Amino acid sequence: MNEEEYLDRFRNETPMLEAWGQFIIEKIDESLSQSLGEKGYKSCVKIPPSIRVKEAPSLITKAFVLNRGWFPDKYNDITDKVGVRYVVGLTDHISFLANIITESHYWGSTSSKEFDEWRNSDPRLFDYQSAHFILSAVYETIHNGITIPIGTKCEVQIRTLLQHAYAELSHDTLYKTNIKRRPEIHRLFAKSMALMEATDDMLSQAKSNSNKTLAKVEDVKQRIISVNRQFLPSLTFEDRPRENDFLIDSLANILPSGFNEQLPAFLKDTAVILNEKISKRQKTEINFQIDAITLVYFLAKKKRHSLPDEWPFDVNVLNMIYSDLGITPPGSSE
Amino acid sequence: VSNLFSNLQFKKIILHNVHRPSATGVVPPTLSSEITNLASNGREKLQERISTVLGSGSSSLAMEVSDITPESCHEHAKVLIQANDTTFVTQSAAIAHLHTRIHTNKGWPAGTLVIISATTSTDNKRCLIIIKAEQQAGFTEKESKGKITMEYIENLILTPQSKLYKIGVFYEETAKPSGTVGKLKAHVFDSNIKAQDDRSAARYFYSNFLGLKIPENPEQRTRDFYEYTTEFITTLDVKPEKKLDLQQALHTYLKADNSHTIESTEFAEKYLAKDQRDDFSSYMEDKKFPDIAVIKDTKLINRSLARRKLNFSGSVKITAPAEGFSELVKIMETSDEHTTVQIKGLLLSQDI
Repeated sequence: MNEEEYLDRFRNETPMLEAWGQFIIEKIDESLSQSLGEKGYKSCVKIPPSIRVKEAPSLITKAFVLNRGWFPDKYNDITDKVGVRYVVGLTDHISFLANIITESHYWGSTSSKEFDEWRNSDPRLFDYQSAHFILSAVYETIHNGITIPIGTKCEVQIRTLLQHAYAELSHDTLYKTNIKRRPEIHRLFAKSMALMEATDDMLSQAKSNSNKTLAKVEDVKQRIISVNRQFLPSLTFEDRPRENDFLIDSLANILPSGFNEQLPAFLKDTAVILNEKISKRQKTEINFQIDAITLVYFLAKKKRHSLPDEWPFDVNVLNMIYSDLGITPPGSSE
Repeated sequence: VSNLFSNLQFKKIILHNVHRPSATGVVPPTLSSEITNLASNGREKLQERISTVLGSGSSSLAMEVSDITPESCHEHAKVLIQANDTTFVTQSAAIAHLHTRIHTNKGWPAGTLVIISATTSTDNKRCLIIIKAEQQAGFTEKESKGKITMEYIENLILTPQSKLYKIGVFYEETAKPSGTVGKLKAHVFDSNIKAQDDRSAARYFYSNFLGLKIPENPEQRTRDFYEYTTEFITTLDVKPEKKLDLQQALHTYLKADNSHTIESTEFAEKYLAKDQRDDFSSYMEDKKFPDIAVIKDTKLINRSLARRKLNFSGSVKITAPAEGFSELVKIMETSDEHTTVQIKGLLLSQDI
């Protein structure tokens, strides 16, 4: 196949390659939305996925100029004639998305991390841990009226937002200047890469810690709500998740380890008081309108010395609670 | 078990003013002929004041009723707890007259008797609360038409200044929703009881007026407090030196502190780190030690309080007088195997 025949075939196949790319995006998006929901999808996919069909000159260069025996079948062995790119939030999204890709039955996939290796003599200096896959059609597929033959390939690249920013910006610099022999510039690239990965790491940790805290707050909240329903069925509480979360999070440090068993025991003992006092105070005090208020009563009894330091609102409200329980607010004797 | 002064709910309130005796003799009380209507936010605050000085962790004392003669507070309280409005007015006046009869010393203050029938605790025990409130001066501030003005007030009562009021409470031992009242138990708050220096100022209120006496087992209670607290200090997860300091603090609290009462909350707030206080409170609660004041009497533990004993591994013991202990015996350094102790004094002899 000479260059002209090669390009003819490529131009003929371009609509089919595009259709294959679109098909892949549709299927990936479908599974993502199914497992994450619409909100989850948005927090995962940060830039709408894009399709790129290779530019003819760059394809010719790869197949005829730079090919040093890597592609015995000059046409079929070049697998990135069409590419799809996903830009996601943080690195844990990459593996999530990678899982979805490898588990799909519409295509076979091979990971090809070293895909672009031929481009640079020492690519590792600038490389980052993004993921590349080559998807190959398992069935003959018809998409938008275009038939996609078995074996049609597409490269899918997944980057984090930070990797994407780095790649875009470094790519500009790398190709506008001839820097191959300037080690200090290499070093600057390496440093910014390391910084980017460190940032990703820290953001991931922050996210995972915050998820843990959220999960703990949520556990405590669900416990309170269910115990409230059980022992104070005639009280109504407003559904204000943010206020509940804020209050529970503020008091999380002093929750005793036996909280799950102690809370129902406490509510059982004091149901008479809580019913009477909370329903009366709900009329004027918004703090008493949410479920977490029973946690405050509980802590006033079990942790009366520590509670005032953690209490995030007006101390007068706390004094009402101590008073309802017949407890002297700490420090009153001084 | 819920606290005695939880769920406090007022039923009737009346005020009578009592006066100091004059040169010519007793000055009769100024009596109110009607029950007071207190708006709900006022009731709320008053309930808070009362549960603050009587509740768990307060300096209040559980008392024994000693006077149950017909004209005693205890008997008046039994009537007042189940009284209708009319009887409440007349019978509460009898309490004011009783106060005037025992007010024999001009040094004792005049004040307002605030008499309240109420229910308390989860089982709604009926109770009678008698407050003697002294007057205090203060100011009010008023904003109107862009002007802010202040006004002097001479007769404020029941501010957070708890030194200026005393409270006695009679409450049912077993809750009954209505009908005749059985024997009542009593509780008192008076900052004077705590102060060792002025016993008569306290006694006229709880004894002469309310007809109460201090419970009879203060020595046991004091010993309990000493033993429980010592145990608690032993179990603490802190360095041995810190435990030594805390034990010294306990000795100081029981021996040197010039107070007539012991309160576990007071001890906690004075000597324990913030994060240890709640543990101490629940420890004492588990031991059923009262979470209010008890009268201090160190008779049974004077020997233990006089000397401190330190035990080391290898059955080495050091004993020293508790007084000035921290100067006499100093722990200089500890390692896994050794303790360096500095003793102020010379080795004189060895016991056989």
